[in-house]
Amino acid sequence: MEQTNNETSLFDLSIDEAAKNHLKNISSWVMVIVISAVIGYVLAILKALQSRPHVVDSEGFGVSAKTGPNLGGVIFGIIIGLLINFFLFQFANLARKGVNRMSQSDLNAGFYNLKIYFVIIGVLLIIALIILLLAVLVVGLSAH
Amino acid sequence: MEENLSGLELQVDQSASKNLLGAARWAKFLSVAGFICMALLIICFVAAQGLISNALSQLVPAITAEEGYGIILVIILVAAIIVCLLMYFLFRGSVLIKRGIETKSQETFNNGLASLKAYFIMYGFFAILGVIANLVSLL
Repeated sequence: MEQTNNETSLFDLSIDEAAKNHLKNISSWVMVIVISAVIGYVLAILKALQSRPHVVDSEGFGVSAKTGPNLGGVIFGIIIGLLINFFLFQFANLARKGVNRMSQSDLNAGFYNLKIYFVIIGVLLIIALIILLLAVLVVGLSAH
Repeated sequence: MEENLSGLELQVDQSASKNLLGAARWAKFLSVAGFICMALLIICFVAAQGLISNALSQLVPAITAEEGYGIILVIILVAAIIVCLLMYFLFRGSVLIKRGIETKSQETFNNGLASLKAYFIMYGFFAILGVIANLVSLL
């Protein structure tokens, strides 16, 4: 995962002042994203609990429907969201620590977590696209 | 374990390069997938115009089918523009970071980080908006 004996040379890229500022800003905004996501999860649970037993008339349109998502789906979504945001949080935390303390290993660990974050989202996207494709195929075949 | 490089600069060493290149590769994939999904969404929406208009006219009799379709089309277009802008920053960030590491160009690498920063700023802004919208809908 990490390499402690870093092979650095005078010709390597460095994290100069501009890069440090960018990384600090990225860390701050990533923290905003993570905090917003966690607040969103709490609100989603509250919403799911609140709307579960109600059957509400859609105002004026004469449509009755059971409102709100089911709790199981919400919890499943939250677990995946927490997993994704954990890596994003780790990236922000370690990158900031690495820049502030001039710690190469923290910075490298931060970049590793950023990679894992994008990998998880990419894999989830591929799974979602496969499910979508299968659904379209099933609907297409059943229509004929 | 932790090495403090006092007096030295932090480097984009082999380990950092490997991780950043991996992140850039996946980020590029995500951004391209985002562009394609938005294009498909708009194409599907335009292709299913008749179906959507009929459903809308039954669901909301107060407005005409064309008006309802127009309103939803505008909302979808605005959402698609926002997502495409977000994906543009992610795409640019991933391409420039990769190129910066491969060519060892400090300026290109920093531009890549700037684009990634723009991506996260925009993402953060909409995350805050989302939380506010959630709170409002809960009240």
